[in-house]
Amino acid sequence: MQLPVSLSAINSQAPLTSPVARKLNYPRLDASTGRSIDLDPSKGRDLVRGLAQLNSLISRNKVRADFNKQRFHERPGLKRKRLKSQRWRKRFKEGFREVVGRVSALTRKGW
Amino acid sequence: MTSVPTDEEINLVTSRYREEEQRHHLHIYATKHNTHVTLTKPNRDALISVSCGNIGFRKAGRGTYDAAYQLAAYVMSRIQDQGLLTQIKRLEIVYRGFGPGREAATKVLMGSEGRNIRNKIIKLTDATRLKFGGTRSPAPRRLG
Repeated sequence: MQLPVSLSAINSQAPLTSPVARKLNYPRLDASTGRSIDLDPSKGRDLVRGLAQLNSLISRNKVRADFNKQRFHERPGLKRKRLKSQRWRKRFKEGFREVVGRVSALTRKGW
Repeated sequence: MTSVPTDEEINLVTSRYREEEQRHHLHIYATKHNTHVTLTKPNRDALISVSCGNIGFRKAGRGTYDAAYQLAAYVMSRIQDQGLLTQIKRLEIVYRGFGPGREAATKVLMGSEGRNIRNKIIKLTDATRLKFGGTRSPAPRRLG
């Protein structure tokens, strides 16, 4: 019996060791995968450096802050108040820095 | 479009990750009131699992930096006594929580007690559990 051409082409490509027969071993991919640092002493990433990198990664992603915030429930009214005051303080700090910088620049110039 | 991965793709994935799978883990779970240190096999079965109460600290004493330091030092000595140093070729440190035990265990690893396993560490991970929405936390406490 002659197999049709298309079928024989497929059969020549699909080997016997297809994933149906073998199990794919994917690595563990969970939330902690993104918060991991690979150490490589040959490239200078020793334990101390790696820890510093991990700490900066954690603070950049605000993991500690989120963790502490999640301990207790904050109701929407209090959340709005907190965000409002936080945003104002940030805005004020920027403006203040600008003014102080301008004053010190002028003082340097002799005004 | 190949929905079936080719043999070389399978080899690439499995061979690279098969050797990466073979790392032991040292979990350091540091809460505000206690610290747990667990050494696990590559398949995440526990080999040594102790917390500050096992050392002899009671109640409030368990949540201190000192207790966590002693615990980590104890785990290092246990590893040596049980002869696991030859078994463990690659080690991953997994931190969980931000209690005093986190810093204490790190000090132990970098100090003289952890000199034997320091070379084996290949990865540092933070596995602090965060909620994405999730269940509602208890109400904020009103203390005086």
